[in-house]
Amino acid sequence: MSPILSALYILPLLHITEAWRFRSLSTYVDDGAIVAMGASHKSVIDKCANGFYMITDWLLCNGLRIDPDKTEFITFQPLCADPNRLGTPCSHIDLQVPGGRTLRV
Amino acid sequence: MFILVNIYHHVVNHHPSLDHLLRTPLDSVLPTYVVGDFNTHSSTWSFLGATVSSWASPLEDWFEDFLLTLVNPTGLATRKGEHHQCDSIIDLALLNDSALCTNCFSPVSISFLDLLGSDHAALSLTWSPPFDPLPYVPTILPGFVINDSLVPSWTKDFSLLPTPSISSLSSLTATADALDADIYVVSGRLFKRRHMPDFWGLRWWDIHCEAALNAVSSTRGMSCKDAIKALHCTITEAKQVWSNDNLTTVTLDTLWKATAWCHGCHANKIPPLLKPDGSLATSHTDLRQVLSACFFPTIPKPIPLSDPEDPPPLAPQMFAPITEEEVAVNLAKTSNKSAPRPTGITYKLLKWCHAAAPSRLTSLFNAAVSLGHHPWRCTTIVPILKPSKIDYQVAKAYRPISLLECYGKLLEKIIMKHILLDMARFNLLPPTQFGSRDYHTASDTVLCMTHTVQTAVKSGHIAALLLFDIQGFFDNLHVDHLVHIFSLLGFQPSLCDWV
Repeated sequence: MSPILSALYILPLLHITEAWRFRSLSTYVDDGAIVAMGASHKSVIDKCANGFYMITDWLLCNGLRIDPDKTEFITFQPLCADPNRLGTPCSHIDLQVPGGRTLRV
Repeated sequence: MFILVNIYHHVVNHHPSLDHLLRTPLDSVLPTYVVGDFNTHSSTWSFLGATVSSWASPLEDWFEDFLLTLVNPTGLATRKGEHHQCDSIIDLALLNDSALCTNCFSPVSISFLDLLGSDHAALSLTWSPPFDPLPYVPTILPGFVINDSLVPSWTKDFSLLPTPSISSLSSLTATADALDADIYVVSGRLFKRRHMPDFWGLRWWDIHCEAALNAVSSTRGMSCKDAIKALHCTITEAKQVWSNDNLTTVTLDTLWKATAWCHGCHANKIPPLLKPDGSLATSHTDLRQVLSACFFPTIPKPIPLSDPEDPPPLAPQMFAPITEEEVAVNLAKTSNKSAPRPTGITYKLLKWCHAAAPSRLTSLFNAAVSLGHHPWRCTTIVPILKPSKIDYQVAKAYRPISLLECYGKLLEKIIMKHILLDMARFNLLPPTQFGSRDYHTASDTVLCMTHTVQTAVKSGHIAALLLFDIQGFFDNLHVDHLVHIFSLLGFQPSLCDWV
């Protein structure tokens, strides 16, 4: 029964993220994925990071936290696109996690 | 009583593998006999001229730390050198101070006569206890050795028992206990109790093997070699006879049993574990404390019961009573091999029980839901090794497995189906939650994300994925808050209490 009870526990979080635009949160019980889209690398990184902070804050308020070792970041870009418009791709992003740590993913 | 520590020190390309041994403490209070092949040359026990092993010094320190005294007869080789090698002393026998004080151990003798083909000598020692050892009594385990052919007698006996009525919480608990007792009484009349298996039993060993082994022990020289060959042949034949006997009377059940037996009996012993202060936990109590501290997080910080983001309250829905057919359908899907604990009552016995008296389980389950009480929350927790971990001395390298009562597991399965049905009927989960929904799998999550990413990329945009995992999700849930959300979603109050 634990998956069902866990899914119901984070129901408020899923309702909050339903209002997101150009990014979304999909979950499979305890695994989550923020999908963001934008015109430049900077904009998708900002969207993902802001979404991540909102989720970690909600989790912290509800007695939960993210496993830093299982956090990953992937970007996808069109093959034929103007590099000036997309900006410089990043090999990683730095995220602040509860406890004052910086998580590089 | 004394502790026997049998050693084989494996050395590969002059690299020792003593780390584990040197980290293992010995209880200096208990008489201890340490014996085996140490594959170590030392100036303390080796013949003059032997090259001293680089790991001899830490090994001797370990002997000294635990007050172990070498009791090998002085100057006697324990291994015959091969191909111009010198004879050597690499098999050692050691007794600790506690053992020496008891005067129960004879001097060690070394013999190259009973070797069974080995180039190492046999180190023999006799222990004469000051009391008569206790006779072997097999440890009785919960549950029974079930004989399927007795199902008619079992069903008939069980159906004659009365069905108690349940009106209160105390009568619910009493009825649950009475069901256990009834199953035990009926099974006890027909079946033997389960007991610990004899780990030393070789199923194929017969009188011919016994005779061949005696022949090896009583012969010397060249005829001993022939006797060893004969023993090998006899063992092979005995195995063949045993296997043929089993195969001629094979059923699907015996075939699976034979396959399981071929894989051997895995008995995972938990080694000493590191405590938070860096010392080692060796006793059962200490190990339990270290594992408990790791498996069960401390009491979480309190959080507000309600939250502004909580879903709006829905009208309460009645929980549909559990039917006899529902119990039968869910029972039919269970495995008879599912590990039962702590009473040892298996799904097979529950199936027989439900067939004999369908109202007993059904009324008990309905009473548990309507009174908001879970009578089977007691569990046995078994730590299992997580594969491919570097260090098995840390508690994190083990995974706790809860062995729950089959009654409780069955009731949870049935209630889960009811909740899933209500979740689908009242559309309680948003479409972004792919887990815990009928007809949804993890692949659907991946397909959905792939679709979003491809749509973004095809329209000339950049897409990004940030994947995360909630640490120890279920273990860290605040039960009160969970029950609050559960009640907001319109689940019956007694079901909320049951959760």
